[in-house]
Amino acid sequence: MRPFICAALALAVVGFAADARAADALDGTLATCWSCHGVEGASNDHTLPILWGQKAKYIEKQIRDFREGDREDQIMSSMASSIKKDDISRAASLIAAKAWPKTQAVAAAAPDSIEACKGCHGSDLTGGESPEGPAPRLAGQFAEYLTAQMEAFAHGDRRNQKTMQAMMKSLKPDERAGLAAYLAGL
Amino acid sequence: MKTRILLSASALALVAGTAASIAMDYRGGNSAFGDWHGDTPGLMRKIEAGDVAKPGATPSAANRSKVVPRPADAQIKTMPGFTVSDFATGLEGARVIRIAPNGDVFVSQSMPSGSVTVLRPSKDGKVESKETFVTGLTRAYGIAFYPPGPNPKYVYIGMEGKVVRLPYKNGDMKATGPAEDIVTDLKIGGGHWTRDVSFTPDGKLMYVAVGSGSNIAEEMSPRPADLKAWEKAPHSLGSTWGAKEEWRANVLTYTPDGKNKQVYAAGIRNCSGLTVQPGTGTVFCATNERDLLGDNTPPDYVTSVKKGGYYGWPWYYIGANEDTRPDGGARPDLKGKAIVPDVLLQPHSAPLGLSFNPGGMFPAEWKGDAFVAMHGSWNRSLHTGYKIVRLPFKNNKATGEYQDFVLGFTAPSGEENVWGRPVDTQFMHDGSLLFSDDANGVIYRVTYSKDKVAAAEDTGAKKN
Repeated sequence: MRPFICAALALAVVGFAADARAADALDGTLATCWSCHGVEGASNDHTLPILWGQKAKYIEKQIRDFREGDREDQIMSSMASSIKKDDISRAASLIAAKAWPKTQAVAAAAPDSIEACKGCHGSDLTGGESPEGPAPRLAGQFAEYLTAQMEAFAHGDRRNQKTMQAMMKSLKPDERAGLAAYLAGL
Repeated sequence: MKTRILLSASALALVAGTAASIAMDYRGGNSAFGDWHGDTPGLMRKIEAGDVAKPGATPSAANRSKVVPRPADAQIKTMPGFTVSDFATGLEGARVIRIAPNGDVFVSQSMPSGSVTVLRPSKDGKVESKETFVTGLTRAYGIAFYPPGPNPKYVYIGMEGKVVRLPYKNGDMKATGPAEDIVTDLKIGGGHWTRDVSFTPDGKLMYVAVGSGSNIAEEMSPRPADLKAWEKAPHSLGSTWGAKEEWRANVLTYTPDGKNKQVYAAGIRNCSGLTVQPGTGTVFCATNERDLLGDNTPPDYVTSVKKGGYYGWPWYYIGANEDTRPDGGARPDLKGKAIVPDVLLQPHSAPLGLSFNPGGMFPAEWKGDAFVAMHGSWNRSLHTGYKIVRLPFKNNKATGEYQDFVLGFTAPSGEENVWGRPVDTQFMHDGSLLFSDDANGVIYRVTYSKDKVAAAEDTGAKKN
């Protein structure tokens, strides 16, 4: 497998540093996002989530959680802290306004447990609301990313959504993988 | 500058030792910088303040390492005469190691369990028994015995937002009472969650390391109207401010009851390993410097920490190099006031834990040297770090050099893969060195035997 490196950070960062307060500073920030998450909305590294077309409120909450330490990731903590607080909302809206990219994932059978997801993630699994806050779009997301997140919730490595921690803990690893495969193929 | 010394000796590895010639290089200036491909046991480097590349001079990349299981044919590389073996396995999220006065090995497992595990070593350096001292302490990290000396009464643990202590007496493998909150106001967030803890040799003060709340203070509230007044106690020169950054990028001191908080030193972006040097009582920090300035900018470092010292973050790095990114404007008043750290390390190596060699097993001339665990890079085109290095000391002062000591965790099958991420080092009472790996949950033990060096030289001589 080829190493996956997002190597375009330098330009975006230098531009950002030199002109942080200019009106188009946000474009520089977003260019940094695309350097890893994909210039056409989907990364070659399927452990990184598709962001384009994700629910704005969900993106906003994740950026804030990365900044505050409620969600932990070495790279994203650094990246999210480089976005100005007043820009988070607008950045999330700009990302959400883009079209969700289509992936190569093939359709898989629906596990019975999928019904429990629909209450919060929406009947078509394109995102919704939960009592604990915004629920992301799952339909068409990368299976590798979904599996990793479900595992992280189950094992307590991701702790920014209590209901997800409990639900994922109640499933076996192959049940989580089955859900991921089905969701990726939607 | 580059001198080359050839040592004929055997490379002793985890699985099997094979006779080989080890090339011992010395690299300074530009040649001191580099990625894992250039690492060799014995290679000595020295990076000096004048060598630091300007921002953007080298590319900046996000290049996350992917942890894979330890391959069946894994070979750890180290220097002649040394052997690396498993001390303990199955310790998920193993981070900080501390040795109790009776020789028991305390290991924090920060995530996911938030535990401290006690491993009792047998005479031949294996684990005789294992117990969970405490569990459920979110992101348990630093461990310190109090009071210092042969008969501690408490184990202090740095964790998310807090320092707690549990009752302890020599021989305890399980805490005999609940965790008691000592410090409850440590800030969280920004990804820098490690909280290392240590005490002054007289036990009067507790050091707590608290990393910054962000990469480069992109957001601080308006600066205090009177900076001179702000920098007086309990703050100090170069102290940051605001909800996100006050009391951060600091080494703090408290009295052991958790009162009398003071900034001991400021501008230390993320002191992930805090150690008091035996004999001198000097505090040392292994520090992760800032991201996104390029592959070779700026060096991470290990340094002695002076009371009231300012080490640069966020406005400067490695002395007077200015960073224009912090929120709220420049600080020309601080130019030239940032202390240049003692030992500059390859940028983005992510040095975490460090400890000093008390002597007793390793070569006699290595007594007093520091051994540093490098967790390894993400913000670099090609990975760097992922190894243990030796920092030579003379008369209790670092020479500024560092030497590749234990390595070989990178790229078992593809550049992106690693099978070990060293976190902390700690010497056992017999002078052997333990180091932790939180990638695959292993504590390794490094031993040394002069006979093995002699045997290897014999083999080399016969071959020649």
